[in-house]
Amino acid sequence: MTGRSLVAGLLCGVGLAGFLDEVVFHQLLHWHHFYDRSTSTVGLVSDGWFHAGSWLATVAGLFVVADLQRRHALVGRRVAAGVLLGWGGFQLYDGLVQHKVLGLHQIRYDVELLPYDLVWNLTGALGVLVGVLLLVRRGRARA
Amino acid sequence: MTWAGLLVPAVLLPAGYLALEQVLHRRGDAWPVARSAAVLAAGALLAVAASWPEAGPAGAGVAETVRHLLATMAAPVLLALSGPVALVLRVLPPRPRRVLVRLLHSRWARAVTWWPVATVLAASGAPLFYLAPVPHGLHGPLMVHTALASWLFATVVAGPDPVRGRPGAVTSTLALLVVAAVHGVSAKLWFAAGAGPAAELLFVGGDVVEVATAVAVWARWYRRTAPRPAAGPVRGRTSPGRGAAVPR
Repeated sequence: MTGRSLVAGLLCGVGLAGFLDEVVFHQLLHWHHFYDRSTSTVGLVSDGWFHAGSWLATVAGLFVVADLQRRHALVGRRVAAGVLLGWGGFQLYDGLVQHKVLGLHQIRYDVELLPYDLVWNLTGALGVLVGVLLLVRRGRARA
Repeated sequence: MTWAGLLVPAVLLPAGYLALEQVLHRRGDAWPVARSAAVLAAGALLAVAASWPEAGPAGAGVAETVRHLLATMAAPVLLALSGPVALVLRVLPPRPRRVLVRLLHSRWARAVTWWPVATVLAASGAPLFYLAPVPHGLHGPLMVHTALASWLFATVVAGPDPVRGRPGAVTSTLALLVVAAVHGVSAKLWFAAGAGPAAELLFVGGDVVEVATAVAVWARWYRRTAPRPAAGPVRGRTSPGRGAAVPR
């Protein structure tokens, strides 16, 4: 059930990234806006899919975790690796593809963007890196 | 169309449901109380939608959106979760039940309950309502269509009612993703067209119904993939550390 633990973690990680974006950046900081006039339709559609998908990933991920838990088959390290990979990967996708390529929205407005972009994408990359390390160490421990 | 008309299904649906349930109880059969609660909640939401106060010109769109969310999205999903068709099938005497079963197995019924068709029908509501130039006279029929499509879709992906070839949890979630994404993008485009707070409300309300439907889909999966029949979370666990599901 190590594969399932990883999938559950990935789903929860994507959900976490969407949740953080919604709660921290939209509701608490008000850096993000509901609709940005410069948004292209492609960006809007991409955002729509990811917004809906992050909710669904959260629900599915939590139910798979609960299922593994009741079977005593939950592999904590795999879940953690999945959460980091899911969250970091989503953050990188958001930071590189949605912000830069599609021009969907920026992290913050009316400020020098570079430090924000660097922090955003580097934390995402760090999440992916630690996630991969967790997976690799797990593999070594078994070998 | 007058919104007060919604009071008719708000009263008739729960009343009819509870009357049928009484027939079951009188002959000593059980019926899950959660399903009765769902139909009562559906009726309550329809009543709230019917009696939602008219707002001034500034908030007119908001009041309209609240009614739409309650009557064509939230209430139909709750109705689906109450399993009305399963209840009718249980109560009907053999002869009319056979007629109903034949109807449910008809080509037409199987076409609309095929999940891709149900998905397209459910996804079509929001863009038609908010983005297409639908003449005012068609708003009433369109609302009925949207409510029926929401009920059908929730029944196919999550509801307890019998559906031939019901998709699994993953397929259901992907279908739900299509419906939710189309709904969210429609709300944003409506906002871009100048709808303001009403569009934001439509967006958030869509999220709430989406999450509730997803929970219903996965709760069903969770119940149906239980390692042992009738085993609670504590009882029946004799071999800790056991991995795979025990085949029944």
